[in-house]
Amino acid sequence: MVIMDQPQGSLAGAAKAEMRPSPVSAPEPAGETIVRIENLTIRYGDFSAVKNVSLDVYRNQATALIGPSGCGKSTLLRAINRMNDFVPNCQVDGRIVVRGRSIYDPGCDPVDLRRHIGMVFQKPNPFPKSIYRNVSWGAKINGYRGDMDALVEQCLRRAGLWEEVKDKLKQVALNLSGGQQQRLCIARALALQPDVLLMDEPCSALDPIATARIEDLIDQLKTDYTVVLVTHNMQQAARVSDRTAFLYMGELIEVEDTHVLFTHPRHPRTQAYITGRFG
Amino acid sequence: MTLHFVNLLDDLRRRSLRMAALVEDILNEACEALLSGDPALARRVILRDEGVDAEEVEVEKEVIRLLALYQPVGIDLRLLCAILKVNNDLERIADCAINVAERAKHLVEHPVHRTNTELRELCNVVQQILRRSVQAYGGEDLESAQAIRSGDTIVDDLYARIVQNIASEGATGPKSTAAMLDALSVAKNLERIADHATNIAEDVIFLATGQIVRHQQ
Amino acid sequence: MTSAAPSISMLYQPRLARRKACNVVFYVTGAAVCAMTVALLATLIGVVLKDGWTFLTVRFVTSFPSRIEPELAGVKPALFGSLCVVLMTGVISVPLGVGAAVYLSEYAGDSRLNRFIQLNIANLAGVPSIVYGLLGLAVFVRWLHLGSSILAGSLTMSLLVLPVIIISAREAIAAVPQSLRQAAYALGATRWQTVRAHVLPSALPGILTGVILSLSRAVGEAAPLLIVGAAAFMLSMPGSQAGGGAWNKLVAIGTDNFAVLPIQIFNWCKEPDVVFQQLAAAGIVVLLAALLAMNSVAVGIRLWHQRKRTW
Repeated sequence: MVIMDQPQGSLAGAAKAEMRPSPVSAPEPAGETIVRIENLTIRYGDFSAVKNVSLDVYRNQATALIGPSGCGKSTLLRAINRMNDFVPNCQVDGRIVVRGRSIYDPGCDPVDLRRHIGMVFQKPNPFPKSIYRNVSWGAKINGYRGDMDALVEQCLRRAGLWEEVKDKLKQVALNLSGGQQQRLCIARALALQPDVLLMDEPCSALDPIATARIEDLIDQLKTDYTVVLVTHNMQQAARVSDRTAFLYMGELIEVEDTHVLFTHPRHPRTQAYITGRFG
Repeated sequence: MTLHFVNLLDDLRRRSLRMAALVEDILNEACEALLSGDPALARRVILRDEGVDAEEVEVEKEVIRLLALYQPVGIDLRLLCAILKVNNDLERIADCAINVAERAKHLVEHPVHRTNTELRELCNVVQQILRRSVQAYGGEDLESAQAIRSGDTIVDDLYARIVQNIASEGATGPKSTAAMLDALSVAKNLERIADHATNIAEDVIFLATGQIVRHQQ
Repeated sequence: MTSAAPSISMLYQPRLARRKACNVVFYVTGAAVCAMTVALLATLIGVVLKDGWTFLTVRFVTSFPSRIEPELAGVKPALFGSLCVVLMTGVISVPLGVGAAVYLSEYAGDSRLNRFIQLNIANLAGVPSIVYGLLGLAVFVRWLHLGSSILAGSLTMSLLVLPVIIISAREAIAAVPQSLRQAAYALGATRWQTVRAHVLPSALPGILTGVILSLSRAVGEAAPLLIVGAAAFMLSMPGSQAGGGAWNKLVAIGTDNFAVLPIQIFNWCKEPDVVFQQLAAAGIVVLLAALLAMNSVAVGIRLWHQRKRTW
């Protein structure tokens, strides 16, 4: 718990200086930046949903975006795989660099980009097809040449769903429970072996037990993937993420290691939000 | 729900502060009993310990209840943690003060020590430290908490001198070994109280900044 | 404050009996209207069946119409013509209509032009069928020199049903949840892959309903074909004079003159002799049967598709 390189004597200095957590409990020193958001502004017509946000997402970490409704966190998330392209009047300024590639450059094809950045939505949205086809379809349309059965099994295992569905792969996915459907959606995204997995409030439509399973899953997925998670549930952000970014009215107020943000937020607005004293 | 929680938190904080005032009072009376040689007062002080013990348990229960039910974060979390730790320190301080009062009953028969200026000063300093700690805690005053932390050396010096005096008195000729041991115990307990009071100041620093400054210079 | 409770409850006058009576009245009215509709249909079918009963034999659908010997008349060419027209109308209008609907709802943005086009399509759906007949006569029969052929008739009918197909297909496509498209796009699918694999299959039942409804309308239409110049009487099958291969035959059928059931029925109705009235009734029964068959095919496809989805 000792921070060795504290300036001696000056306690006021000590209090202000290092906000770094103790080396024991901290996540690995921030690794490679996999998604770099630079001065991003997103407008819908005259309305700025995201204002000049700069944020780095590190490899093999879960980064949570929190904030009140309408703070732009979902818009920010959808900017990372260019799902905002489908929104009319949506104008993006600034840059997002994913693995060294600026994704809003004219040379970047959003269809190809989305293959590398998986997405899980708020409401489980499996295709009204068989469980098998749900997982295999993405790989199929992207020209996967390997053993499809093996891929499907691997992804379902990774999503913790295999044991539950291995005997009914040909059944329609809509017969699964909500939590199972959401895990199927995660498996479906994994089939493309994405670099980053975006999750837009993945548990908001699920019961607490299903939620806990998804949270465990996110924790496991971090070893191989990078997760960016939007959540309304602050406890969830606290539980599953390594870093948390707080957005308010389109602005990034504070981004910090999660446990620091939840014990000692620097910004009064963050403090007010996480302790529920808003407005 | 948040308003409800904020009210509960506020109640708890006030309760903790009341307990701090109580402990401060006990220390003051224990020192009074010691310095004025009033065994009746010493006995009354000793009786007050039970109240502190009961209150400590109640506060701790309430902290645990709020942690379990509201899963606080940020300032709320730090406040609850600080209350819990301060609570523990206050109870320890009360115990030490009771120990001082116990010794005071015996020391009445040995007026020598009443004129012991070092002991008198130690009492004063420790009372002062506790008072300032409790004030810093009540006002969540970061600066005075930091000042208290750096002022701990005075107590250590005084304590060292008292030990030295007792040692040299023992060498020059035995007066009463029991009395000397009592005096030593009083000094030791007072020194402990100063440590706990400093801990309280450190908890105030944690409360204000989220920094754990204990064991740091 | 003790008086508050009763006084507040006094503010509510539930009038439960009255509300329930209203409910019963509506229930009875609704049931009566439904019963009337069913009764009307039953009467219609009953009357038609009674009138046409004597002619409802296999011979009726395998014989040619005849003025001289009405007892031996049949609807063979008219039935064949109707089926040909419906089939060809479907072949022409379904791909065009669904394609236009997919373009409008999936590809074209929400532009002013797009909205203008949609408004016009909605207007076209309301244009009287006889206007389409005049258009068909001018464009297909005269200008394109298709003559009074099945092809010209089918093209005219396609114009007639296209707006309805487009509108209903658009509705069906719009009803496909957005989340499904997003799921596909997020997996790196192109628009076409998304439409082909998810949107169209999900919209298929709705599209089919629209197609069947509009084609049924096409089967029953007489006015436009009358103007295009469908024959009142066909004494031979369309294209029967053509020789050679299947393709020649098909072309001959497409370009030959033709009759359809509604016009055949209309012509019989005009005759004063009671025998022709009975013939008309029998013709109506055949027409209704054809419609019913078409509808059941649609229901069948829908059921099959739903079952397929659960495999």
